[in-house]
Amino acid sequence: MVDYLIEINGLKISFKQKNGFVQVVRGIDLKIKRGEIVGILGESGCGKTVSATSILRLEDESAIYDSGQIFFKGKELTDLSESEYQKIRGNQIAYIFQNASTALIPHKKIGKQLMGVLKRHDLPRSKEKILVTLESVGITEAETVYEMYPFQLSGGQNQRIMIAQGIICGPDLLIADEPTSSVDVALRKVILDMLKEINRKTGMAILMITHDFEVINYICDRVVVMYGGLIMEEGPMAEVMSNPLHPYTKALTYCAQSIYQNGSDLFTLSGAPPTPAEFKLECPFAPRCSFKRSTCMLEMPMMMEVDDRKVRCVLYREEYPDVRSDL
Amino acid sequence: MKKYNMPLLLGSVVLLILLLIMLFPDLFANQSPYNIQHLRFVHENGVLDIQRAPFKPDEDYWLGSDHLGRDIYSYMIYGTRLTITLGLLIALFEFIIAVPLGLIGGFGNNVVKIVIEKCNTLFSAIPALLIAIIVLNLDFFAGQDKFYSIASFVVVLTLVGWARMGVLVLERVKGILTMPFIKGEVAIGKSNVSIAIENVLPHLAPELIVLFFMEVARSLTLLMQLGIFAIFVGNLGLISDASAGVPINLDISFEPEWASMLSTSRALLTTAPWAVLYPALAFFISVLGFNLFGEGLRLRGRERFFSQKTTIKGLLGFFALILILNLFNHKDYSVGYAEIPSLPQSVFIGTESSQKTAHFIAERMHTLGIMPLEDSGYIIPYDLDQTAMLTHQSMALSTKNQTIILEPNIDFAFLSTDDISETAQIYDARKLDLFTMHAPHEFDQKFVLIEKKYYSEHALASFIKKIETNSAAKGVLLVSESDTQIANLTVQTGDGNRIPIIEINQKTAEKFISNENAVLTVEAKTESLQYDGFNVVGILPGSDPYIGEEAIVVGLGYNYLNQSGEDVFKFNINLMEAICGLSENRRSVIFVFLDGTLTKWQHGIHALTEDFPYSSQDLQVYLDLTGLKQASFGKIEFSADQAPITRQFAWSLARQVEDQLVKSGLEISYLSAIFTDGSYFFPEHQAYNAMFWNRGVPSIIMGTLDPEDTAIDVEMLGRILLKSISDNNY
Repeated sequence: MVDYLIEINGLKISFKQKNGFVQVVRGIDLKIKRGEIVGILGESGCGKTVSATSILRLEDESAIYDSGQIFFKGKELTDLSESEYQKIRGNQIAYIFQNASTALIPHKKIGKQLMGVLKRHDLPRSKEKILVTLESVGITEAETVYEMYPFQLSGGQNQRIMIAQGIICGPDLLIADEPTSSVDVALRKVILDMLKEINRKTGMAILMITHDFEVINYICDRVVVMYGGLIMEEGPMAEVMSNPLHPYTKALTYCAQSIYQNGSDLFTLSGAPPTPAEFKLECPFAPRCSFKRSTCMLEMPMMMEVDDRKVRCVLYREEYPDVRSDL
Repeated sequence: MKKYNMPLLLGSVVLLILLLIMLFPDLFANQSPYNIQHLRFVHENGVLDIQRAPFKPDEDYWLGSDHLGRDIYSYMIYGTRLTITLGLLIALFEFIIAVPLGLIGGFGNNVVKIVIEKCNTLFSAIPALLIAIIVLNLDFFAGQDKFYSIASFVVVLTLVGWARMGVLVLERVKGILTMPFIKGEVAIGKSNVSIAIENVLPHLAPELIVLFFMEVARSLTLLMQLGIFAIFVGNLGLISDASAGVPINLDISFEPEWASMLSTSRALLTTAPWAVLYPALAFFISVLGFNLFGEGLRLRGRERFFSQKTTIKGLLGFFALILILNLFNHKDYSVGYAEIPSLPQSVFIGTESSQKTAHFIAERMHTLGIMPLEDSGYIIPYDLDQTAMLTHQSMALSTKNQTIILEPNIDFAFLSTDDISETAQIYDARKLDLFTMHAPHEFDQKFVLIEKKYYSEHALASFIKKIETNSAAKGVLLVSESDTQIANLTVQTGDGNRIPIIEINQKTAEKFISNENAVLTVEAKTESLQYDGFNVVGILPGSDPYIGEEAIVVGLGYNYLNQSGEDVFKFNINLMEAICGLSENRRSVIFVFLDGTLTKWQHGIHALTEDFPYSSQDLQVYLDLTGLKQASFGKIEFSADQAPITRQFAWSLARQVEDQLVKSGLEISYLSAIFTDGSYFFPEHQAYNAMFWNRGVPSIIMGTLDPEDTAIDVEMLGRILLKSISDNNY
């Protein structure tokens, strides 16, 4: 029995709207092992951020957990009180935001902010430790930066500081919400390298939320593809990237590859993903799927296991072997 | 070319001036704000003119006066402290309530949120002014003393106004919480409390500070409006004229304060507009000052960001200032006992000890800067002709079986006698109708026993005369009223023909009565007193050019028989010194050390009031402390009956002393007084009546009772007296 760091079972989350509720996450299962780097890939609005933040219960008060459990080191998180949760946040599970410049406290010096994190979790308030952490995320002039304010630093530096803030307590899991989307390409690599390095050295698991293929390619061990509030496909990164099973994943890889090929047309996928208000009990991708069957619009496909991968598509039922070869 | 922040500049100037006035009113005011002067004599071009208050602005009254003759300018200067402090306190407490509640509500506590919103709706629907008027007009609040009055005002006005702030804070907090970095703080596991303190407050602070000053301005406006309705701190709520069946309130405040000026001057708007306009102007300028300052801060705050530290430092410094302002008033009022070496063991009138002590007092006065009132010096002697000292007294009751020897000054005391030695039976005349003595010969050769309590002094004197003239009685025995100690050392002598009058206590009387045929032997020897009675009188001149002529008189005794009395004398000397040491002796203080305070008829006050060396008109009050006879005692004897409200100075001093006595929990026994001829009279203490009835000077009497009990120390009285005198002088 493998000891999972995070185990999410059947998580469903709704948000309260003016006229009723809308279910945004419709039942996901996710397991993360210690030291693993898992990436959640998906377009905007597919529920990937909500799923990730739900681990730390970071979303609005208007979010309702309809059903499902989240286990962290075997302990169920949904039962925890707010104060117990506060002990975990930043300490055992860290979360870093997309836009570091706004997520850092604008009116506090960097040193003070990081000191505040240490203080919060009753760790020794050592300036040394902060400087070391800053250097480990690639800040060269740690002493100077210690006394500066976020608005005096560049976006890239702030991003690194954000990561430093996340790792300073030595968490078991780092949830990174699109950490490189607001950063230039050159820096992207640096940051990803840094994360890889930290993972290698400390064994810290990373849950990466992204819509960028290349990030997934570069850093993740496993990848989870989400669409319409559900997981469409899951598996080891190399396999999923080279041999996508789900029609959606396939389309995505085509889109990505077509940029690099020197063909005249860019592969596009017509239509748009459904908004949560439009969710129905059918395969969410069906309206855009070229391999659509009649059953796709009648019921929600179940998750199928194919070797060590998972896929939610009717095509992987027994009756459609021939179609699969067309993929 | 930097553009100046005009609002900040102007506002700061105004606030600075206000602060200076609050701290050092003496520098600005030219008169005492308390001087009530209804009439005034003006000498102009050789013509004598009488003016009636309110006075127009002129060189004495810079801004004129109100209808009681109080100088508007000085009143405003002294009133700054109270009024501005009120405004600050109200704003402060509103914030203390609104900010935490706003934070809690903004963080999501719905209960609090609803409370804030409902309160706000309530108090905006019904005007704060109206609510304040209704609440503060209740009887509960009328005539409260300074501390409680201020507290009630602050509490009521805070409760009425906080919700406005609360809603504002609520909205702001909500807004701040939507900022992205808040999520970051939550993600690292910060609790709501730390987020509130470390993140939300620093964002709120600049705005709150600005709002604070605006709120002070608003509170001052509210106070001004309330003042017009005669709702102000320390409204005495007096009724000036109820003869028409409708009480007309005399709304005066005992403390200078701006709002009160508006109420008392409402009626004067057409006749004496200066009395209304200038206080209103004061309000206007202050409100403007605070608003400008707040506005200036806001303009400045846009450019800078207040860090947490400077915010807290600024706020703390500000409130420390307010605290200091109020602590400024704290003074030390301890009196203590003077160190006087080689005091005689006892000081009694007409003896060498009294003469020596009188000289000592005169010297002490001289060193303290007290001037004599008479050209001849401090000591004013008076005749003691009809008085003698008892050198020997004894009384014994002989029955068939035994002889009971009675103790002088415990069982009996001679009131009046010559040298005698008599033995006779006792005639019990207690049940006789003494007004019409049918058979005076029954008294012949006997001592007549009379119950004192049924008769006045006057009646008794007339009985005794009748007995003297119409019978051959051997003497009169007066049974005293209670079981109190009776003591007397001097007696009134006659010309050899008078019969002895002896006072006895109840127990002794009982012995006499129960032994029917007992025989009483009485002996006494007297000696005339060597010296005259010596009163020592001196005046400490007052500092104020306008009211320095007015004086308060402090009457002290210097006769004593034992150590306890000697301590009282030491205390008296120190009290005199302490009063001289008070910083604000605007009026003069006349110290009167009276001789013969231990006797009835030789009490120095009688001689003194026959020809008091100072104009009675200028005597504001007589503080009679000759009743202090022991250094430790059980009860305080007090009376302010002879300080009626029409004599404002004396009345307010009496009020203050009484309040303090009550507050300090000391047991008070009020002197019994008879209301006659429109004033009060003390039937049992002739000496206490002297100043009031002979000279028309309102008197406050204090004395010690229950010498066996040692609960109270005369020192405590010293504190109370000093504080009252000082406060009353302001």
